[in-house]
Amino acid sequence: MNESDAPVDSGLEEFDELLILSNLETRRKFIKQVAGTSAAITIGPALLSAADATATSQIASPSKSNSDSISMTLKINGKDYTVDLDPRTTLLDALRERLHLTGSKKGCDHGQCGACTVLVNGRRINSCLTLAVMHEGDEITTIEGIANGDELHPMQTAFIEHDGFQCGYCTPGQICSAVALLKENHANSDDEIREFMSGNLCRCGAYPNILAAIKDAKTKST
Amino acid sequence: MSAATLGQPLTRVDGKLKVIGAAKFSAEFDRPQLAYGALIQSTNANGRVSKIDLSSLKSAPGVIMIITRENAPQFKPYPDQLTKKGAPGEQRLPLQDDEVHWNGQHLGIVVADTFERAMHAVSLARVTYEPAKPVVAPDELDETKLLAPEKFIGREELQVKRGDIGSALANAATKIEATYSTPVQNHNPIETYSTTAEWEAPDRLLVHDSTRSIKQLQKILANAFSLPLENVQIVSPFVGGAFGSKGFQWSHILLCAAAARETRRPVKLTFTRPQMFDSAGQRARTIQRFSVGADQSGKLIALRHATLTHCSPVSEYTEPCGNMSRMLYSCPNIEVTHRLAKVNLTTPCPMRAPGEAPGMFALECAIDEMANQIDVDPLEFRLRNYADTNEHEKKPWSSKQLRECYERGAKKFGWPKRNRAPGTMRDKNGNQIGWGMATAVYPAMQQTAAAHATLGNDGFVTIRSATHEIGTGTYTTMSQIASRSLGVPLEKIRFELGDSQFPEAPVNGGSWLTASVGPAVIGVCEELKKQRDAGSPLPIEADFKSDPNKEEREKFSFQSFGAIFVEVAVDLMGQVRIRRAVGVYDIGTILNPRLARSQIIGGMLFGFGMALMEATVPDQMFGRIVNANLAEYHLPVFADTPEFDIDFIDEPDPHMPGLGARGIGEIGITGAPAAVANAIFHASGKRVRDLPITPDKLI
Amino acid sequence: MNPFAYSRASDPTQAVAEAVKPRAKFLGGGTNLIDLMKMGVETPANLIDINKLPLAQIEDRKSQGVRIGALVRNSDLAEHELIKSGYPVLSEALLSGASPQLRNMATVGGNLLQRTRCYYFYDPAFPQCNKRNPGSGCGAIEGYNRIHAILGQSDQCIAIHPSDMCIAMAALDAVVRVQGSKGEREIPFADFHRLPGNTPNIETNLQQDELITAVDLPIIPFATRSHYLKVRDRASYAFALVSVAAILDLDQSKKVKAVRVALGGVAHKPWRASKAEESLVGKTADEKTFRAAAEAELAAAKGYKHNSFKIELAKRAIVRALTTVAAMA
Ligand SMILES: Cc1cc2nc3c(=O)[nH]c(=O)nc-3n(C[C@H](O)[C@H](O)[C@H](O)COP(=O)(O)OP(=O)(O)OC[C@H]3O[C@@H](n4cnc5c(N)ncnc54)[C@H](O)[C@@H]3O)c2cc1C
Ligand code: SF4
Ligand code: FES
Ligand code: FES
Repeated sequence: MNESDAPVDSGLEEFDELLILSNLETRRKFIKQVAGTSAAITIGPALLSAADATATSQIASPSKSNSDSISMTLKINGKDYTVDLDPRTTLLDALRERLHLTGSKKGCDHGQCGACTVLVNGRRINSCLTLAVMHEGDEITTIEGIANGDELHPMQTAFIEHDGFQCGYCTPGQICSAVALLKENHANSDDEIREFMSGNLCRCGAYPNILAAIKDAKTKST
Repeated sequence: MSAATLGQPLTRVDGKLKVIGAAKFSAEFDRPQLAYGALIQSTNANGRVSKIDLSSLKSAPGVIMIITRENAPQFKPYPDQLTKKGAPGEQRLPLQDDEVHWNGQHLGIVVADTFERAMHAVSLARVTYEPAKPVVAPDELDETKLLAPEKFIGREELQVKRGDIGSALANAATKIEATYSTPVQNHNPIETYSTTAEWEAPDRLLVHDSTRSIKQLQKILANAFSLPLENVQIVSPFVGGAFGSKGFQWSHILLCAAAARETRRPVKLTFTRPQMFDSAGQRARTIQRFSVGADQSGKLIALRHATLTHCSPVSEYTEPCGNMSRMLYSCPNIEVTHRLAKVNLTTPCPMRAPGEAPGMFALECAIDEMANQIDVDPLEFRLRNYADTNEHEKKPWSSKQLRECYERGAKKFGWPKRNRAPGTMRDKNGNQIGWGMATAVYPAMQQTAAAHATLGNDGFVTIRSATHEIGTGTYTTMSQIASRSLGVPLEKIRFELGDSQFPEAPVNGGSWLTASVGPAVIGVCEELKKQRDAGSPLPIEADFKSDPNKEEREKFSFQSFGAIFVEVAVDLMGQVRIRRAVGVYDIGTILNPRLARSQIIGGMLFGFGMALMEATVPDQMFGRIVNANLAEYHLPVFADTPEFDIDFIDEPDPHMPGLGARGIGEIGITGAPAAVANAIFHASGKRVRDLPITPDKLI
Repeated sequence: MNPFAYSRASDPTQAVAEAVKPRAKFLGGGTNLIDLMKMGVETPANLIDINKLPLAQIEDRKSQGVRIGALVRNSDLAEHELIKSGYPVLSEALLSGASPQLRNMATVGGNLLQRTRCYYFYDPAFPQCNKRNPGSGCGAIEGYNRIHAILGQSDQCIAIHPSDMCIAMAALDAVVRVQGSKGEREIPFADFHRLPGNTPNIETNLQQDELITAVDLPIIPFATRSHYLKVRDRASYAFALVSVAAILDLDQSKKVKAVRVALGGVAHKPWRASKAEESLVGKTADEKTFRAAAEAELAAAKGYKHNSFKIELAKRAIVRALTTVAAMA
């Protein structure tokens, strides 16, 4: 590479606006705004006339029955959440489907990929192979709780600087795992990092960059 | 801050979103009254369904709806354009008949109010079959049952003859005959497929889908449900990896949309990991027979490459293994053939470097075997047979710096120090060490794309195109291109994608994204600039559409090239570890070296996985995949990662539009499996021609 | 996943009392049980969460060895000073298994009882599996059997025990302590797991109402000279194709005084290689001796269509593991 390897700041703060991209309503504002161009459609209120639906085998009423659910309080990123959950609900599904903390990812649902890695009492675990109900009273930290408010954790900054991801789907799990790795004191050589990060698959193949990010974050945090 | 320049190693503009867990993938959009779908699947591979007993399912708690063949809506057939001979994706509509063609085929969808209940309910379906014996391997069928497909997706010819192969082989001074094979493989992005369908009105459908082809999916759904195109909106701001999956038409998306219509609720259907193996595409197994001949001076005079592969009973998609054999080396007598067997496995589709990945494994191993037979250095052998033009298309290359790639790579790797004889190097633990190399090549294609831009009162520029972010850095590169074109700082550029209501962009694939959407972005910026410079009052808007340059395309052959060198260690138990890898690539202009390097490394690792561990294994009796999970289908893990040294020639392709950039997504995988297999031969003297090269094959 | 009633036990006696309920299962780390419940292979009606039981200690019992509580997590066991110094083979075995995250969850008790990774067992859509559904036949014998057993198998089942930890424990002559409604008892490691025979569905000699409370390791002074070798399809996060736990005591003249060898990936239970051990004692520790021992152990091995390579692989792994230990200072 001829160019300097030093990262160039791409003005991250401003791109908080990208968050907007995830928000459908804002997208639609755009679509309205460009109404009249070929790409535009008009979006009306979501009306659905029951008469038109061709339901054929409507069964039981969809209302949630709570008879088989357990009420529990989960402490996540320092905040208490009280929820009624089917005891079958895994910690991962509780986070993603019920609490809308979708930063933790599901890649396999069977402990085979590490995308769901979260910290429980400071230790990294696969949240897909544990039931939410087993974690009452535990301190759960997800990717949403890794940064200190607006200030990114050094591991997060290092992932950006070293391009430690491509699609970004494995990334929350990688970062949680890497934060725990430093705590476990298993980042003492390249090979040790490789071995102790092997529970997090990355199909995009960002491993060499993640390695660089972890080493960087390690020097910065000691 | 000043405007971005090309070639700057910018960090990703969407990086922060990804590291804080705020980038939203398709399964992560909460919709009011969301219900959960689960698929009823066949557990037989061939025959007919005689009955689906839903009695216990119907009374399972939380179940809202079940759709099977009995009550399935009639979908309009897929549009012709998607079902042309050899097209990838499903040709058959779901639930319109009782036939079963593979194990895992969708037989229905169950909707329940929670994920847990949907998963439990679906396990209660009891299906009975009139089973027939499945065919699960292409070589089980006799020749007469095989198809001889003409073209790959209507593009490249699959049956090619040049010169007189028969007499050239008869006259060759050196000759090899060898058969190489590659197993079924699955894309396995870490994000599985996910669809959330929602009918906002009886004639209006909103879908969040993990797709890299939003415009195509919009057409598919509009067609299936007879809706005006603009009444279907597909949203997909981030895709968690694709590698060839997440494009094309697959039945689960129709089933999910149908279920949402019937239940009048938004329905989310997310694939389980096993469904990634039987429900929406895979790379087919290939068996490739080679006959190669050279004359006294070590020049290739004959190359025959006969591929046997398979598709499902309801598709004719062909893994095009022989494309590169037609032209990678100079050779007067060529025969490339492809035969296709219909077997009872799920419908295949492109997977990272379709054809090139398995085809180049075989070709580059055959070349290595020839070099060994003649006893010349494999790099020297490649140089002797360097193709100065594309002899198949009979056209000059748009540009080709492969020689430079070989030279620079060899120097970085230390290749000249290599002792040609196999089995001569050992490390201090007694492991065998070997060095191998291969050529990398991938076509540089281009498609039509369009973009819309607005320059607002606040000086911010918003550019929109219906393209995708699958991890290749679209947000970043396109922002970078716009910043440079407009001379506006990067922080004032907002590039938006992933919405079907945005201007046309192609399916994300074939490594053509940058070469296609890039020119559209440059074009729209030029238009904006014209208005801005003319002093038009803000806000101003512009549209631009860019088409491939037909003239140049007719005159030149467009390919990216590269050379890859690897060192492996083989231990007493047959375990192979890749120690280091050097790759030098000629892919035209490098827009962002940081992202380019990441892409190449990702591609190489994909190739290393293919070389050493990846294989989808169907059971012979039931045609069911035995290892449909990530514990037994092995992807490379962190500990499998070698040291990488990646370099680029970084010279613009003068005939590519706009920037002179060719594609980058797929070339990394091509060549990697052969380089590893060649290095293993050099280490151990064992030539393994059947991937993956697992310990059992070396012991 | 099947619906179930969840309860949390606060002491072992209560846990054991709960276990007499129909289709009751103890829930440890959950890494195997929840996995199999999602697959529909395990369908407990009552889940007894034992994670709050006071069984997570590692106790130094001096001359009587070490007692490991059943709820000690695999990572904590691997990193414990007593284990790293006195039983390094166990530490190595644990660290070669699964992933750091899974090791943080997995318990000693759960690891002992983890079930086979046989494809036909794991996926109920396959109609045949005598282990999952007694009498249905074995899908693997005529099917894809690359990961299956070469020793001790029966014509009913050729599955293997996938654990790494257990292989080291087998070599260390561990003892499993259990508590049931009829009281406490000790089960020597060799008697804990069973060969498949005609009842591959019964995998251990543990009773339904018995809770594993601890594993005892005896003092083995020469266990410091040991090695765990694991052969697999990728560098990490993969089950063993074959593994070897080797412990070796040599005299001044490099003759074998005592030896323990156990094999993983080859049988329905952790395989103590007693034939190899017998052939080694008193001989000079060199490659020839090791090879002969490996040949002796594998003489009875039988391969199937896809796993015959394991016979030679196991021999080489035994030789390599013993050579490595012999070379230790
Ligand atoms: C992807 C993946 C990869 C893996 N790779 C490896 C590997 O390479 N090597 C390896 O060795 N293992 C591997 N494992 C398996 C892992 O080690 C086991 O799942 C784990 O040890 C089980 O422990 P657990 O506490 O989670 O058990 P659980 O899942 O909680 O329980 C397992 C069984 O034991 C019973 N049980 C638990 N505790 C007790 C007790 N105290 N008394 C009585 N019964 C009890 C349960 O009822 C259940 O039947 C892997 C697992 C996964 C998911
Ligand atoms: S080997 Fe055992 S576990 Fe596997 S299918 Fe046969 S009986 Fe079932
Ligand atoms: S989702 Fe939990 S490990 Fe893959
Ligand atoms: S960044 Fe895509 S899987 Fe890791």
